[in-house]
Amino acid sequence: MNAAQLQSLPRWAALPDREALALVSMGIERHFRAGAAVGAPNLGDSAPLLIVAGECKLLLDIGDLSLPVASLTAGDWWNADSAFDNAGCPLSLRALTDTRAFLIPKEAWASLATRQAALSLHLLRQALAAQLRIATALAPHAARWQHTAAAKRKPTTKDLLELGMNKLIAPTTGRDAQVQRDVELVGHQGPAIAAAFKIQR
Amino acid sequence: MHDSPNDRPPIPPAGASEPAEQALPPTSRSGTARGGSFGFAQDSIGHAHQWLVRGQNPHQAEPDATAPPAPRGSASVTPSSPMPRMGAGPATAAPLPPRRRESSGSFHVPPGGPRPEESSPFAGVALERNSRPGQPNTNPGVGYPRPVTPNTEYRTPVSVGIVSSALAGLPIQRPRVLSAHGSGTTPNRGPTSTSGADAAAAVLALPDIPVYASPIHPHDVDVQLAFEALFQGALAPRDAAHVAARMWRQTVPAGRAVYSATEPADFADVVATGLARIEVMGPAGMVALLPLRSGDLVGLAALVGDTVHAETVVAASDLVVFCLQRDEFHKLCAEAPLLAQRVLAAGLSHAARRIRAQTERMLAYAHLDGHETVTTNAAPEPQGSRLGRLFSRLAGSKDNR
Repeated sequence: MNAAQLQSLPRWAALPDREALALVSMGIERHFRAGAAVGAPNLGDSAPLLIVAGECKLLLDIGDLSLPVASLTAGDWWNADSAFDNAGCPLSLRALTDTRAFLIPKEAWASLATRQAALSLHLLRQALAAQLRIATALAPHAARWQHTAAAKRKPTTKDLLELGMNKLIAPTTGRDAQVQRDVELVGHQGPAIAAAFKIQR
Repeated sequence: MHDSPNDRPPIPPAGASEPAEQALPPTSRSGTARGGSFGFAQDSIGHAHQWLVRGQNPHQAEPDATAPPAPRGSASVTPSSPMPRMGAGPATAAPLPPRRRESSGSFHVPPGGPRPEESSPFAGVALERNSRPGQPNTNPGVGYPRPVTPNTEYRTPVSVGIVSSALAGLPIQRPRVLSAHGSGTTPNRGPTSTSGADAAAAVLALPDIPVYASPIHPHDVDVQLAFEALFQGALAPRDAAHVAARMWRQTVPAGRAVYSATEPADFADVVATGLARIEVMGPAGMVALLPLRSGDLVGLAALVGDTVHAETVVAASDLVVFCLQRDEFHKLCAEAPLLAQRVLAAGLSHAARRIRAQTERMLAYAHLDGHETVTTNAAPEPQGSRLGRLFSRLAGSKDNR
C-alpha cells in the first residue's frame, strides 16, 4: 500500500503526504480471502488492524452461533484498543469479500506518540470513532438481549440488596412489562446475578 | 475592580447634576475609552452613579433650562432610560451603544438590539447573573440544566475579576490578564513543558465558563481521583493543572440526563463523583446498559468530530461531572498534543471496556437462555493440524473425567 491509497480511504483524505508516507512505512499489509477469519476474539497479543479494501463482518461468537454485529469496510478499524490494552477485542472478524488490511504493530504506534504527535492524534481519533461505531452497533443487540433476559425471571429484593444493586435498578417502561417483571438488572453485576440464579436453580 | 478609591468618580453635591456630569472622568463617557474590565466597571459605575443621582434628586423632575446642552458624543453620560420623573434625556440623547463581547464575558446583546431592561444604566453590569435579560433565572446556583443554546451565556474568570482557581496551583508565573477583550488566540507549544503543554499560554486562552458551572482545581480530591482513574495512573501535576484549566465542574441531579441521544455533541464529560448509567432505546423503552463511575469518560462523540451523541447518559445519583467542551479539546490538541493523546487513549479504553462489558453480559444472558454448552471463558481453540486438535481434545476430555 502506498500513501495515495491510504489517503483515498474515507476520513483519511486530510492526512498530509509526509505523515501518510510515514504511516505506510511502519505497517504491514495483509490479504484475506473471502470467508477467512481476519481476527479472532480475545487475542491478547494482537495489533490494530485497518481495513483498506473489502468488507468484513464483526461477529459475536456464542458457542456454534455467530451474531453479526456490524459490517466493517474500508477505513474502519478492528482491535484498535489493543494499542493500549492487552485484553483484546471480544468480537471476531470474518472477511465477507477479499480483503486487504493494514496492520500497525503496537511498538510502531507507541513510537508515533512522541515522534509524530499529529499523526498519532489522527490515528487515535480514527480508532476512537471506529470503537464508538462498534459500541453503537452493539448497543441495540445488548438492549434486546437484556430486555429478554429480564423478562424471563425476576430477582428478589434480597438478591439485589446483597449484590449492592439497589441503586442500579431502572424501571422498564414498556407496556408489555409484567408486574412481577418490572425491574431489570443494570450494571456490571448482571453476570454475577445471572450466575447466582443459575446456582439457585 | 478599582485600583484605588481615587479612581472613583467624584460624588456630586445634591441638586447639582450637570456639574457632576462635567466632573466625570472621560472613561465614564465611553465604554471603549479604556479597554478592559476595569474600564467597563468604571464606566458602569459612572452610569449607575448618574442614574442614582438623577433619580434621587427632586430638582431633576423638570428639565433644567440653564444647563448647557449635552455635547454630541457624550450621550452615554445622559441616562438613556426614561425615568418617570425625568423629562430630559431620552428625546434628545443618542442611545447608548450596545456593548458587545465577542467570546468572553457575560455581556449579552441579542441580535435585535438591547432589550428594554438594557436601557437601564445598569445594563450589562450584572457580570454574574444567571439568567438572560428579561428571562427568569432557571439555574439558581445548580449546574443543571445545561442550556446548550446559541444564546448560552458565558463568563470568563478574568471578566469577573477572578483568575480561575483551577490555575491557582500552577507552578508557573502567571501573567495578570486584565483585558476583557476575548480569550486570546490558540497558544503555541511551549518549550519548557514535558508534555508539550505551555501552561502560561493556556492562561491566555482560558475557557469561557458557563454561568451555571464552576472551574475545577487540580488539587481537589475529586479531581485527583477522577484523573487518576481516567488516565489509569498518576498524571504529572503540571499536566493535571493544564487539563483541569480546560474543564469545568457541573452538577446533575439524580434522574436527570447529562446528555441525550441525538443531542448535539458539544461536550465530553468525565464522571467525578456519583453514579450514572448509559441508556439506549430498547424494545420497550430506554434500557440501561452500563454503569458509570468516577473516571469514566463519556460523550466521546465530541472528541472525534461526530455531530450528535448516540447514547443517553443519565445520573443514577447526584452526579458531578467535569465538562470538556469540543473547542477546548481542540485547543488542548494544539497546546499539548501528548495530553490530548492521553485523553483520546482514555476514551479509547473506555469505549473498549464498554464493548467488552456488553459482550460479556450478552454471553451471560446466553447462559440464561439455555445455551448450556456456551463457555464464556473458553480457551481459544488450539492451533495446529486436525490430528493435533483431536489429540488435544481427547486430552481435555480425559482431564475432565
